[in-house]
Amino acid sequence: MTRALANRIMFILSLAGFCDSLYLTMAHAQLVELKCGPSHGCEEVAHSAAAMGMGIPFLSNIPTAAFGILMYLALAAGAFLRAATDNEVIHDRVSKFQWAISLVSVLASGYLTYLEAYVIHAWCRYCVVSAIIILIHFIFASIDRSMARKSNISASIVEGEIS
Amino acid sequence: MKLTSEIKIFAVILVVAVALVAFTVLPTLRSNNPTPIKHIEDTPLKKSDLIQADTHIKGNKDAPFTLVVFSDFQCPMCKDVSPQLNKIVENSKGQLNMAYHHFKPRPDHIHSQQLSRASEAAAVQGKFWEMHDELFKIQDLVKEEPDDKVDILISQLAKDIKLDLLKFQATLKSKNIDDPFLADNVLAIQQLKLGQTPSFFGIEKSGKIQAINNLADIRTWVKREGIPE
Repeated sequence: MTRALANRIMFILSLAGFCDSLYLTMAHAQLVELKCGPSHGCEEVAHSAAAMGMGIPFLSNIPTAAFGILMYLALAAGAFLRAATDNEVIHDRVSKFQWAISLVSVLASGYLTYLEAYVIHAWCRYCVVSAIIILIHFIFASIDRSMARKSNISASIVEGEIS
Repeated sequence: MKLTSEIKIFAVILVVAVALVAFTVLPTLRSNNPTPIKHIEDTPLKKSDLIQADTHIKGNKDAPFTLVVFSDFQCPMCKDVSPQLNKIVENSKGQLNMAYHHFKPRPDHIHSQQLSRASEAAAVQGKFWEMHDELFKIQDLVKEEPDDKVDILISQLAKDIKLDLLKFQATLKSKNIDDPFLADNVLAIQQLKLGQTPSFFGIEKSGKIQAINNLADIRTWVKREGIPE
């Protein structure tokens, strides 16, 4: 596993998550039909308080899926920026940004999954897919950070030996 | 920015993603016209199949247009659309009425029948629609409650809408109100092959029946038929 490969995988995951969130937001705006299957679980979730502003009252005018769009867009843009630049400083900062955003997203997604399991008592397949995507993204972002730290330590040792 | 091989890989990934979205999501975009459900066209459905003498009607009984709703008091989407349907009927200036049928497609909606029976018992005293509106308000409360707690909540609603409580409870205990509820379910499942709530049908002046997918399509249908909004 190289950092470039990890970044590619994170880019693919971000795009998949973006599509998932975009579909849910479009369904919320009644632009597409929300296909829930026989369980109708996503209809229940889509009409619960958690579907707006993640269940937080002062954010209740914004669909929860719209936050997903922003988050995945930021992650995809970060991965693309890393691919487009050779600047190590930018690489490192964007890598930290990807890790931090995916950590916050994993926590938010965990909270929403908890609401599905214990408050709404219904499962939205698209939300579960998003939760899995962001969890895998976080794992790759963590691997990427770990590889970055190792290469920084190696570089410091090499520099120390030279000097 | 140099066009490195890495950017090219990212561009390919992006193009593939956009193509996938274009082929999967775009065909599902809603059109502006209500989409008829195929099986309705194949079924020789008549107005009398959807509206019988005992069907609950809201609004002008002689309205030229009727919106038929198959709904479940434990269905969140039904609760969501209910006030908006009421408003559409109110705004129609007598041109549109609404017919209600009970339909419980989900076995885990354990109180659906209990709530439907309450609405039927209220209907005996001429207050079906008042009870209908109130039952949706307690939807979240009843979800986790046992039957006896739900009975208490229902009795409270009966008091709130000023029903004769003794008569209401006696009606609830009688077998007579099972029939319309069961008949509605048979109609929904066997004749119309419905699989979900809410399900809507629009009956036009000519008697033609139009299956309607959702609230947005109801609004389009209302506009198309020239019903005041």
